[in-house]
Amino acid sequence: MTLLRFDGVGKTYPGGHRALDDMSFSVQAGEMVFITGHSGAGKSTLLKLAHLSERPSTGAVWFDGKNLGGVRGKQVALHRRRLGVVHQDHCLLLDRTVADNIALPLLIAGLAPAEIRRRVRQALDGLGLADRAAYRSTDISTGEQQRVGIARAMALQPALLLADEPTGNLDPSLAADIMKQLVDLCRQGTAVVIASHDLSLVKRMKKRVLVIDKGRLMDDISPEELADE
Amino acid sequence: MSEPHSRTAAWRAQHAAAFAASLGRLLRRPFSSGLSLGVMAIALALPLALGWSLLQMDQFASRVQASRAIHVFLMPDAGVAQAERLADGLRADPAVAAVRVKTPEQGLREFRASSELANAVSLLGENPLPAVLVVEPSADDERALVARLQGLPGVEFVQHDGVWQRRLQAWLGFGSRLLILLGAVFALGAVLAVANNIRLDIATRETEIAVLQQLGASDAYIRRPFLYAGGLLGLSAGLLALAILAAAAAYIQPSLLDLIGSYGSGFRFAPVPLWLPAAVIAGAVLLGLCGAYFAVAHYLRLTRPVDL
Repeated sequence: MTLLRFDGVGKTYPGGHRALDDMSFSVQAGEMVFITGHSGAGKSTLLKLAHLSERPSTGAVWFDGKNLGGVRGKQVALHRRRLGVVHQDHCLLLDRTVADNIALPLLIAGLAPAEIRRRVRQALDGLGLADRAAYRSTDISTGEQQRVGIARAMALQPALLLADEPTGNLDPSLAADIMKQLVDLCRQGTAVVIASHDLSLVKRMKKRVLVIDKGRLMDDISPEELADE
Repeated sequence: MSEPHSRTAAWRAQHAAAFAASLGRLLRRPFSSGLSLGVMAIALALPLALGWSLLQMDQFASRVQASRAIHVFLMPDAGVAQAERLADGLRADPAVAAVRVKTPEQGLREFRASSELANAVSLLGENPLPAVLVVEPSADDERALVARLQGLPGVEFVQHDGVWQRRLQAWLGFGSRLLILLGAVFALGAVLAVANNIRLDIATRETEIAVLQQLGASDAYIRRPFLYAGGLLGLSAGLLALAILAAAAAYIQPSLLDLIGSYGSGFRFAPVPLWLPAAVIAGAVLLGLCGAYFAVAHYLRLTRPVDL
């Protein structure tokens, strides 16, 4: 089932910078897709369009069969509750504990307290953060903050997880662990779109790769093609 | 994403989290919260004090209203017999409900009982007081009756408190309107005080709000903790305003009662209606909610991209 579809999407920012140009691709439910390209290639813009943090200048973004161009007002919040987002800068609430940060999207989504506690515990265990649950976000390392951001996105068990350089601050073994968890999440039906310029990671994962350059889709490499390489 | 297991439990959890966060923030900023609380409490206490004063004046006015008698003082040489004749004539007047003759002796006894000048009167040797007709009017507007009484033979002077009563009523009416006006102005002041406090709180939480929006928080979710903060400020300010009023009334009452007592009045303060404290607190909470709502709505309107 197609979950996310970009249909001739272009994005020009105020000032004239064209970040994306005629971008077309689709992502299936349960699929993991890497988006690679140099800095400024348009990776983050692509994620923002799917998240509805930005609107396309041309074309349309479709999510779960719905054109996001028609999603306005309260519907934007409802759309975002179906997504998990991992930001480059973590976007944690620094005056809250690790557990509270992970619980945040679950609370917003209106899950029952018992379910929130269960999922937070699961996420803490899965990301190796169990002993950091009661720590404030300011009292943990950058790498741990990164993991909290990932745990927060995964705990929601979203339909689509968007991750911008999710393993940028992590050592290779930890990055591998987290990628394994993301693969497990895909198996449960979540589509995962990861923007990364870590080519070694991308090659190691052997998943579908979209290569973009200067806002244009240059290549769409399937896992099989990557395996052959 | 799975469905919420229990909407009620989730709703309670959201509100509990918002309430705890709001209370915590108010307590962590005692100076800022205290300032807003003080401003709001004073803004509530001032019209409340005026309202309390009006209530007492109204109580006093109703005592005065209960006695609408017109006192007709006869000439010193008019005897009791003439007074009785005039009284008989007046009893036939439809504008008169009742007439009572107060003899000079009765007048003197009353004067002695209620005046410190009783001894001075004794020195005069003879009773200087005239006979008096005490006329109870039957109509609301007794001005025509007063005019007729002034024209009766043997009448020297007609004392009628109606004009004074009407003036008192007019002052009470003016006071009521002033209370409404001041109440509205001070209520607006209270709303602005809360809105300013919440605005400052928002300024320190812009990053948090942005993160919550990224995670799919609705405007209502973002607004909720600020509404709790506004409501808590309002509740505290309402209680403080009542405490200020009670303290001020307790401080003033003894000396005011002494003053009134020195005029020989049996006036007692009107009790504050039981519903008033509840209404003040409910109103204060509502004002706090309004202030918070406006501050957050303004912020969300300013920060929301036009096309979202």
